[in-house]
Amino acid sequence: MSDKEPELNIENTLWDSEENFHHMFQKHNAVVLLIEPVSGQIMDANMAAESFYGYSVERLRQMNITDINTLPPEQVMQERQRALQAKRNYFIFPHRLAGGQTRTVEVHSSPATLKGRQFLFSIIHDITERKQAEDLLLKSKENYDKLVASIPVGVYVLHTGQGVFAFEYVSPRMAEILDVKVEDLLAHPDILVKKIHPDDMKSFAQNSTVTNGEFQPIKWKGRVFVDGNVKWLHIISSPELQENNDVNWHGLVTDITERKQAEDALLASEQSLNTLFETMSEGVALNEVVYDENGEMIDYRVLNVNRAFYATADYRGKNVVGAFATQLYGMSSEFIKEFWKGHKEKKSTAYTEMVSPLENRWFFVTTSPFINDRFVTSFFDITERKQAEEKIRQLNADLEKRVDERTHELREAQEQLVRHEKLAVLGQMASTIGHELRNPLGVISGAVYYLNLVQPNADDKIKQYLGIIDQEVRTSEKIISDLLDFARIKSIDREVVSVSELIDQTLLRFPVPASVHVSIEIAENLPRAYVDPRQMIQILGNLVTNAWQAMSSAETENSGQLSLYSTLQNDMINITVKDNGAGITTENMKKIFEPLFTTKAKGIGLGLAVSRKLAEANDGRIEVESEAGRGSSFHLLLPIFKEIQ
Amino acid sequence: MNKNLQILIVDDDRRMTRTLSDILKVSGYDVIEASSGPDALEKVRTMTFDCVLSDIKMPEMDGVELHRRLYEMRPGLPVVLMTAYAADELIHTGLEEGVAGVFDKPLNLNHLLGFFTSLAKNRMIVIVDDDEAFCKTLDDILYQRGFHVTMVTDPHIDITSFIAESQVILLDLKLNSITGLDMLKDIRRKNPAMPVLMVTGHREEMADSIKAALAIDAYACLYKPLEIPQLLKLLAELQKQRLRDLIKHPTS
Repeated sequence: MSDKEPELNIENTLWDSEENFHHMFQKHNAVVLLIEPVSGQIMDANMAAESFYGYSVERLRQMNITDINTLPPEQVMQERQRALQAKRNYFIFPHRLAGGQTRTVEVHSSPATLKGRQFLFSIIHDITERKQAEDLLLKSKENYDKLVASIPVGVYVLHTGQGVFAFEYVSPRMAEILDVKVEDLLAHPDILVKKIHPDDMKSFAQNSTVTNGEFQPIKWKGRVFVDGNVKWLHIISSPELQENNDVNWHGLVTDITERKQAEDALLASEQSLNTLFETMSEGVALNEVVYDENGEMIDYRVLNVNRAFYATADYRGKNVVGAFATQLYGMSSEFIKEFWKGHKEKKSTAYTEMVSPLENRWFFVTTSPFINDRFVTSFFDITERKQAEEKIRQLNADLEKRVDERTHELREAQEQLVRHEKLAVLGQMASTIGHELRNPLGVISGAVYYLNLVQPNADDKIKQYLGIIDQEVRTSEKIISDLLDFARIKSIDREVVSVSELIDQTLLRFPVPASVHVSIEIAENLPRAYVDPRQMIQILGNLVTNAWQAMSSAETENSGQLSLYSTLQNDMINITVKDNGAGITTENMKKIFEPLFTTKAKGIGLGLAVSRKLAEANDGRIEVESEAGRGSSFHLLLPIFKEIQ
Repeated sequence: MNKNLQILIVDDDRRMTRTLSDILKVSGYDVIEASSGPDALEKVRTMTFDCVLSDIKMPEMDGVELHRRLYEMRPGLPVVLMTAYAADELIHTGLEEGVAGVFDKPLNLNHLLGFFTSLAKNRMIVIVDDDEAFCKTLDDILYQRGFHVTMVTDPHIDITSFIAESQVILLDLKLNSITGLDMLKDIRRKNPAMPVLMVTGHREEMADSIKAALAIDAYACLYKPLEIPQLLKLLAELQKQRLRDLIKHPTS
């Protein structure tokens, strides 16, 4: 440089200044490089460059800029050309240091002429950290935007203060929710207010509250009109007090229309379910399973019941909700364990019939499957049905019983019919034979009578035999009469007749042996009977004859006592024939009125059968009391004559 | 009047008629036997009887039919039937038609004899009328029909003696010196149950007396000239009642 003298003066001057410049250059804190613009050769470097790059100034003076700049040499040269032409003086380049690290540097490069030579004067700042922070910020902003864009929540920042109401930030989602452009909302913040549903305006306005001098966060749910439709919005906004006492509201706006609709639908559904639940005629209970420490279900608790539950089960006024099944229904834990275990496994609805401890009512109980340890039981009162069933069951039982009875009766009737048939045949035969026998018997008795008449002084032997014949004729006649009477009842010829007359006639026609003491007692003012006297005399004759025969055959022969007495008994005349004879055994008691039953050596056992038949034909009846060994009382009950007024 | 009762016994069983006949004869009755209905009718035509005792069941003609024929001939002749059979229908018809009673076979002979004893008493129909011609005619007619008749033409006679033997009294309301009504009162005093038939030819004039007589239980009032069938019917009715009573309550 010293060989160019002519210019030196100026240059010296310059140099002087150059000297100063050089000094400045050398000592400047910033990294400065002098670069030959064409080749890129580093002409000089200062101390700061030396420490930054890690190369000595000497080493740097031998290096080309491309040795430092990691970009391709052509690109570096192009950029250098631009700097030379002063088209551009600011670049960001990656520079490699001696240690091998690359730093992002900011290069301010301007052409300069020194001693007639062009240079590029480059000031280099290490901006690696700044760059990294910038990049991070950028990235963060990008992420934030992405985030804001990706969440379905509108975000805003609203600035409020004295006469200020303006959005500082509106996220695209928020604009979208309100169906406006971000710019419009930023320009006209009152768009939001205008869109609010009038009914919800009040709640919106009241939302911003100040407590103890501090703004409180806003929470608002309300409706806005968007494009003619109602949208439900949920806004949460947090206040941030500014230094000038203005407030920045950081808000989140959520479109909850769908959720709201779903909620409404749910509510409606819940309401209708509730209405259904409450208006059901069946009692319904919602229950929750109760487990013991081993996880076994031992009970359940009633969570809720409908109105009908109280009515049907008559738990009115009782604490049902929260009650345990073991208490409420009186179930045993064992029962619950068994039943519910099975039920839980089946996962189907169970139907059971149970009787309620209250009022002894029957319920048809439906038990739903378990869902999350909960289940529903419904109670349908079937007491009436049960009662009807029970009635039917009883009726059936009764019917069966009656069928049995009727069968028995029929069988008896059939047997009786057979017996009657036999008797009818017998009667017919007896009737014919009897009638034919009566004529010769009449002749015999007549002959005996005659002999008695004409031989009043015959010897005793003859009289005795005549007596025997006469008695035997009478006995024969009696048998025939009984047979005939039994075979066919004669027509009844009713008359008004007194009891004393009947008794007198009876004793006249059926004489009692002298050995028997007869007493007669007839109540005073006894009304007269309305009967066929002949038939009554026949009955009484039978009874009287039976009586004395019972006494003469019995061991108690010594004191035969025959009592005939008559009283009024329940609107009927009772004529009693009482003896103290052998009496009738309990066994025989049932049979004495059966035809052909007899305990006598003589007789065919028709007397009482005929007597009963005759008594009944006259609207009367015969009753008997007897005890073996104690004698018998036969009561002939006869209808009273009632005068027709 | 005191002669024995004439009894006709009818039965196709000769041993029966024979035995009965013997018993009744021994007991003091006059007895004729007939072996059949036609035989009995023939005998009644030619003889006088006080009573007919007939079996019901006989060949040719049964007892009820026999009674029917006899009633036509002699309405005043009592007929009693005997039966060994419970021939209810037939017996019922007989009783309806006026049979005095029915005895069951074999006969209760004491009962039967008691009945005849009663029958022998009180069998007279007494006619009290001062019109002798009327009395005579009536006597003939009634006797023909089997009734026993006593005539009283003198109203002043003491009637006490024949009241005892009478079964019925025919009393004229207008007598010579005493009114029939007064006599009726007298009879009533002596025998309140005695059936009395009043007779009068003066229906209008005697109306009050008739009323008074009926008031003290005159059985009926007849007007002259007498309607004989009506009289016979009344007498038969009265006799039947009496005989029925006799059978039920024989004077033994």
